[in-house]
Amino acid sequence: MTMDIQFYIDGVLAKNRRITAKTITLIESSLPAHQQKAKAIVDALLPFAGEAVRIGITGVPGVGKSTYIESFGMELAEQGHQVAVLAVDPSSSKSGGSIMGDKTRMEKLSLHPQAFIRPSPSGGTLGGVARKTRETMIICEAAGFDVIMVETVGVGQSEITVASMVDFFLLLMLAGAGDELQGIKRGVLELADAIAINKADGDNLEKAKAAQKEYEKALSLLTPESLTWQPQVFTCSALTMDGINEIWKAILNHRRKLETSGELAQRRRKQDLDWMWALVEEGLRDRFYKNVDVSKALPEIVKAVENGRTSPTAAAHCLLGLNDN
Amino acid sequence: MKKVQKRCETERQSKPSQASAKFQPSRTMMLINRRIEEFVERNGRRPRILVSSMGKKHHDQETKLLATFFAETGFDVDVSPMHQAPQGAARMATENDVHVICFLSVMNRHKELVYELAESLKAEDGEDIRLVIGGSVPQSDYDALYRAGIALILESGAVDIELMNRLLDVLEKK
Repeated sequence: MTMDIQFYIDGVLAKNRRITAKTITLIESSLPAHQQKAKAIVDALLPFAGEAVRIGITGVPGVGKSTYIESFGMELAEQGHQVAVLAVDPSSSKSGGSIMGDKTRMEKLSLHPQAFIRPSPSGGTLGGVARKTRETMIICEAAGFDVIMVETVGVGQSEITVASMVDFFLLLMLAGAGDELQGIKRGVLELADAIAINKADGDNLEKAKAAQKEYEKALSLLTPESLTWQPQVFTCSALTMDGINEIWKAILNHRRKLETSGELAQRRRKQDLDWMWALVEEGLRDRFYKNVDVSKALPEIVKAVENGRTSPTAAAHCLLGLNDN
Repeated sequence: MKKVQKRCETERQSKPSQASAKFQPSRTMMLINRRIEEFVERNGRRPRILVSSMGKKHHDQETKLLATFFAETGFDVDVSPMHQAPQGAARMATENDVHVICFLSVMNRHKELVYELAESLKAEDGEDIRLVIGGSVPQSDYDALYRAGIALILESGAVDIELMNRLLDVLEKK
């Protein structure tokens, strides 16, 4: 067993692609034995992680996230960086299955020797994504990747989770996609360190420039989270590569500024705290469902609420009481 | 989904030898779903399959259909870029750590592609990944394909419940 763990640790540190992939599978596994192993591996690799630039990328479906990452990733790889892309894809709540088509649009990057792309199903367990993506990030950093991109579908809770584990949060937008600012939640806008208006090419260029001004105005109304960084708005095209490098320069500039001001260290500590809370919440949930009394009473109570014989509040109170005993 | 089922049914009509059981989507589908849940309990994750399309444009539709069908039955499905080369498929399969690659046959080239794919998988330390082939393959090639490492042939690219059961058999045989 211990030998086994060492095999994974050595493999990741030796930058073995296959063993890195297998380690991520262990992290994602729902089997307690796998989780135990994964925990030991992550703990051992933690000292080798932390140097990478962690970027979160989000945007509504159709905004061109995958294509943007393909262009951006290729540019970085050409500059000599080792790029890891972690993409979270939604699982069907009905069948539990998922379709992960991120690489369909990352044709070149997915073959690049300096790139590693791992799509993951969001899975049934809520909050699970948070732990898994964080730990996968550690594995990738220990395997020598110095730029980590985490891609999420731009709907709902996942942005906030991802924003809490990266240093730079990039929001991709489209020009002329209708109700401009109404389309995105203010909450997501607040998280962004930069907004990039994608598909700024051809006939769309002028519209993109106009949208840029709109967003700049909107952002100037928000109080920035950082003392040294004012969120910026860019236009870019994953097709013509215009603006792609400017965004990378901004990310590096952001990092330099936050490093000097001590905010980066602060952010990393905050990330660790968020990580801890995510683990605590997951553990609590896990304990609840594994509690013998709870799982015995659960079907009956669920039925009682469904039939209207018990009120939701009384049922919840009863279940939590069982968990405490 | 419906389209896939329809195709399964029409295929049954044209090949009466295969029509052993009556096609009952809801009940049989439930049995498959249960098998998959059991798989998850044993392995800690869903069966993960890469649907790789190595062929030309008309394969796109077929790829999407197959991917949807697998996801509907409870698989985690990775979809390849178009015209994926065997080396690319092997790299994607090992990196995403899938259990099985389902690749769509390309007229007259399937044997050669299978050899290349098996070789590439070996080079990427992915010998444990199973290979299945979908699409029309002449019966005379079956033996050669099995010898080259194909675990299952999904005739005409259409997948029915019986084949799903056989696919799960393949995945559970470690």
